[in-house]
Amino acid sequence: MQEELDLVQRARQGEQEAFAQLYESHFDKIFRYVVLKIRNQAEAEDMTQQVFIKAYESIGSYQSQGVPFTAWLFRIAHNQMVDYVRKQSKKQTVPLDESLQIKDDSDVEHEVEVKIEMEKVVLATAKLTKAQREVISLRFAGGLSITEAAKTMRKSEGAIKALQHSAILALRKTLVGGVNGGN
Amino acid sequence: MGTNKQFDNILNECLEKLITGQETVEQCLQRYPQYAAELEPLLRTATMVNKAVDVKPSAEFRAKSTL
Repeated sequence: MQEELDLVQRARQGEQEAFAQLYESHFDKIFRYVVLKIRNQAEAEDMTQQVFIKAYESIGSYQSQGVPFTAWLFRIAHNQMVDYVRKQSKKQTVPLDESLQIKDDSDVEHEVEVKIEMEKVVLATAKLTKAQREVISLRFAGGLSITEAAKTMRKSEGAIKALQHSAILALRKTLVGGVNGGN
Repeated sequence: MGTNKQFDNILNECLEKLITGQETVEQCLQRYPQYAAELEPLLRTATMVNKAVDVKPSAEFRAKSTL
């Protein structure tokens, strides 16, 4: 944590190497957050790059008091997504991109399984409220802690936990067809 | 309300360990047997969601992308 604060401080002073390290440690998390929402590999990669360009341009004005760097970065990603969704709103929903790169792609069967699961989860998350969807994206795709998610969404930790609970319950109902369904 | 809050905390504690691979669903249920019936379907769903977001940027993109 202290190491990240140092990196952020150095990046704010214009040290490119420090920003490059922040980029490396957060890129995959931002990518997963974005791809869960837009479902297209190439567009998600470009969008993630845009998030970091925006962060690079703005880091001089970043104030760490009360807002961790991760939360600040995810707010940028969220705002980029809002713009993207606004522009895409008139277009039809596209199916999940088949070229999506699975982390553990050594096994074809596993790869197919993950893609099927992702399609189901993406469709199920579409039925959540905006706030529930955001919590699921931040916690699972972005890998944020409750504290970081709370800072990102400007809500209390208790509110995030409650949203997390209701979101998973709703996903369960959609994915399995009942809270007590087997799996 | 207090009970909901307590359950939300337990659920979150289990999720935290599940997401980071420190614990399995079964291990969490063993720690909270009194909540097992309510926890299990939620943790199984969370596992499904966690697995579904197991994606990465392409190697080609990573190779050419630096700031």
